[in-house]
Amino acid sequence: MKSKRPAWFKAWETVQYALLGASMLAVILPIVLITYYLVKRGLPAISWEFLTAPPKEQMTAGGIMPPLIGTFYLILGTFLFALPLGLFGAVFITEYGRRSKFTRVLRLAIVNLAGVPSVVYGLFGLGFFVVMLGGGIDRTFYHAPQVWREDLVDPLTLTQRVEAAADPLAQFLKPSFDPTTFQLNKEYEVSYNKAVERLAAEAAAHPERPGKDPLEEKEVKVLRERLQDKLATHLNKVLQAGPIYSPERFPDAASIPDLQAQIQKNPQGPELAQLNRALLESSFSQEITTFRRLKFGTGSLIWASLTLALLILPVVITASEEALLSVPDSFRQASLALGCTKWQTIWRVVLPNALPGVITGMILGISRAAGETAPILLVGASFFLPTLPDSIHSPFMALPYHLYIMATQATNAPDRIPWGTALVLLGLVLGLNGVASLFRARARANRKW
Amino acid sequence: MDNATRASVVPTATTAQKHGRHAIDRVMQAFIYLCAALVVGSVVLIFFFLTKESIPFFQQRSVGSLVNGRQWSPLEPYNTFGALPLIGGTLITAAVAILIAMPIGITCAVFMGELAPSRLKTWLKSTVEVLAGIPSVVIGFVGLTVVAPALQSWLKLNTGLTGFTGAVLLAFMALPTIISISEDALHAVPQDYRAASLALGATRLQTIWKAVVPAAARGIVAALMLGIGRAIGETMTVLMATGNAAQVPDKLFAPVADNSLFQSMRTLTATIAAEMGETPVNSLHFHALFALGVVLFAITFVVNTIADFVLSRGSKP
Repeated sequence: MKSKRPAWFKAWETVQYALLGASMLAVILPIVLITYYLVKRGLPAISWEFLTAPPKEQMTAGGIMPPLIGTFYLILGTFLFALPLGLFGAVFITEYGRRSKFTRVLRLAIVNLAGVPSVVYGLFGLGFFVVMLGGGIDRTFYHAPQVWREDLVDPLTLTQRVEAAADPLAQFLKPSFDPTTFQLNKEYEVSYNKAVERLAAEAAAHPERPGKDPLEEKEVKVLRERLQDKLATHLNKVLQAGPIYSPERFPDAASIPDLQAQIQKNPQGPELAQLNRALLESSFSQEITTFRRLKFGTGSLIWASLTLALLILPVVITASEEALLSVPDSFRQASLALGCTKWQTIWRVVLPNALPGVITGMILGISRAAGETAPILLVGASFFLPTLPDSIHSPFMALPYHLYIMATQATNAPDRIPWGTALVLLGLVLGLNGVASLFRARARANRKW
Repeated sequence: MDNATRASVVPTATTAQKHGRHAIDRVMQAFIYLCAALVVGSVVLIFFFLTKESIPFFQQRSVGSLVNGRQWSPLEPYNTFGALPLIGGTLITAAVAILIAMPIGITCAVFMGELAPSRLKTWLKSTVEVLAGIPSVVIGFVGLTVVAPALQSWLKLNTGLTGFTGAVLLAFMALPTIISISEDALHAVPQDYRAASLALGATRLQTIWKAVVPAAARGIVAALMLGIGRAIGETMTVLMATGNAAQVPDKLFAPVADNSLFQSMRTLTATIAAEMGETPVNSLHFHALFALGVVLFAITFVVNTIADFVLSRGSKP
């Protein structure tokens, strides 16, 4: 039957079809463009050296090996924590509590876990794992003082940290200390004055601020203290960084006068940096001791892995549950009828048949964990570390955090580094996703029922 | 059949073996129950710790001063914790994001679910899945280096890092959620609806808009709510692309040059992520950031609960 609709109606329908297509295109096109652009700008950066070298020259050159290794450790740890919890959580749902009330509570918990913003996981990881569990372990087994974490502030601006990255103390302290007089020198004063100016400007922008402009005596005092704090806390970070700056190199301050004499002869020599280190290490010996006692009380691989494991639990449980449910009940009944116990049935019959689906879920989960930045920001990802993590309580560098730093903080790094990092990260995450879908497809094809 | 009789029908098992098997059975059952309890416990713990760490803040400052304060200057010597600019930033970027994503997401779901041939549909689905898989820090990076400069020159702004830039990126990130859940909802509409509508002489598009989409409305609303939840909870993208100035976004209908949306904005999530690393543990600022976490948790909880409610009701025909 030919329709008797007016011409405008047909035109309107055509327009609608066009709009629907355009809308689809508006989603697909940017995805393709982003991927294309990342490959185009990132690929030239990627070389064997980029993948296997650490960042060099204050992070303006070199590669991404430490963050790559850090992310690898991180997803390994996440896998180890999430697998038993997720798999057996799902086993509970499908094998033990199909109709129980607790299952309903468990499902509610999973739905809620899935809805929690990732940065809130970071807050939880910091408050529970790092401060409470880690701090508790330190206090119990490593004799850390009660107020141990008050000093671990890092208020230095990140630009300074980038400058400091290559040879941290030497770079940072050169403009700070006059080695001949033991006083803070001119350039330090300049940056101090700049900070005061900036704060005064900020204060002027907020008329409701208590007090008047220019800064009151009290405020200047607070500022001065803050800047000195920055110096102290920076030292803590640097000392944490590695064995190069260990106090063993300067067992006492006796060598300082010799160094001073040498510096006066040759101000450009390496002794200046040495002296700065000796000086600071002797002035902050107490903080150093405190810092070295900390083991679990700072953000580290184990706490970050646990946090990410919680974050991917909803994905893992949902996928595992689906895989377990897909195993026909007749398999279970046959196994039980042959006299197997419930656990034997689960272990020998249900799990082997559900394994491909479970692994697919796990891979999807760790691919999500590999790309997460906000949680690890709070529980141990580091800006720069001269050594690779060597224990479960080491801080670590991670690929997504490295990208964030290279994109926003390391402004004098050449463009190719962040683009290359972004491409490697995207390749890793999408690669894992691809492996998961291949695995799923193969598992479906090989299914025996 | 109870366990004892079941075991007795296996002729080869000795008594010792039987005991061993049942002991393992009991141990593993306990272990599985423990795992399930740990999952539930972790949700309770998250909520408990967020609250616990924010209590010291509320002992010193009132809830009103946090939620209604217009100035966020947490450092010495100000110590002012007014989260209105941050709450405003979060809600407005998410709202604008969803306003952008809603029409695109629904029409895409319609295109994929109702119009596209099955091979094209498979291809489109996997492309949208790729988008869901892109880490947020990569989207933020692209926003920072490509989208922000483009918007800046296009709208002639002082800076490209604005609330609007963040909202565009958030819309993009919320799309996979909206598209896939809406598409599921459309898919769940019985084929009879379409057949009946077409039989009555409606065109394909009339069928979609007047019969299929209304039938799937609950699922689509739930998809939008989950999209909002995603946009509110997103951290790295907004941290990198919105400029992060804590000012109350109260001029939303002004011309572009003066509009808050086209100025720097800061969200709850970005504040937590940016400031926590530089905050001494157990300081007032530390606890204030946990208080922000509670506010964020509360907002997302409400949104997700509504989505869950709509979705569970919607599944019943």
